[in-house]
Amino acid sequence: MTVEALQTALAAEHAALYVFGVLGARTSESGTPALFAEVTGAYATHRAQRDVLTRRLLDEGAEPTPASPTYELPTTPTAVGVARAAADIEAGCAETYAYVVANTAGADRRWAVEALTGAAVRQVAFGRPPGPFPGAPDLT
Amino acid sequence: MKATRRAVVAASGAATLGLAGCTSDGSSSTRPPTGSGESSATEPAAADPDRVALDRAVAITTDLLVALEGAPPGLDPAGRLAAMHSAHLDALQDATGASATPTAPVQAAPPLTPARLRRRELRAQGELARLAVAAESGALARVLASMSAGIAAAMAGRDRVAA
Repeated sequence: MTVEALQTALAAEHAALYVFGVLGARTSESGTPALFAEVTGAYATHRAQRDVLTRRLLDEGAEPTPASPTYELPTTPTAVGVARAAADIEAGCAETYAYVVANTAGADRRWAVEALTGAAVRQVAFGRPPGPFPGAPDLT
Repeated sequence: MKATRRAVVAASGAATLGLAGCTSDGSSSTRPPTGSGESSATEPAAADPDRVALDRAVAITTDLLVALEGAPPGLDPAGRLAAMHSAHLDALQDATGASATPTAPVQAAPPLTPARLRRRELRAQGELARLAVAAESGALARVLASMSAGIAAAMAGRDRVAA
């Protein structure tokens, strides 16, 4: 179960990395510096998490799931649209990490708890009001 | 008010929280692919290895609610934190298969200030995260981890408003 959960998380990180790369390109560093900083910071975080998951899966003797050739991109003509899309990505990652929490133990679960928390906090940074159950909307 | 009712019931010790229902597999209700949790929480209460963790989570959350109940006006705008903790108590109720009681009585605390509130919330957030890591049940771990993340996000939201 651990490998399956980590593969799911890796797939989510591939998608997040791709979309955040695009969002970064659509964000003006001079026009919206705070948003640019949040987007580039999220990109760096997801890249690091992708690398951790890849190494962890290799340690398990598993073949890390590859990135897809392309991903569906949100329509983001404005800074508000970029922030909304970024918050959506983080919400999806939070759900993935909540799933990983339920399906791992020990150090893997500890790492997933931290990743879930990070995604929840970044959702707020992108302007989404905090909810009581990040990653687990079914509990609301 | 729901939060107040819960807090008073728990703080008075007049009744245990009636935690009924049974735990569904945490992963079965999530968006990612279905899979089983590490273990099930459907066993009788006496055999539940997560009983202590569950009781502690209830105590932590109840304590936060009671503290907010006596907080100065404006410390919890629109009662958002209280509503969140009340929702957390509801989730603990829904996600467990037996009754839970706080492991320690709620103790009187000095009046809350913004800094003290923040420390209490973040301390609770950290403890819930540790309980999540240690939980035998994957489903319970998911609930506790989400609660912890919810508190972290709420604190981030307060920081954002204050900035």
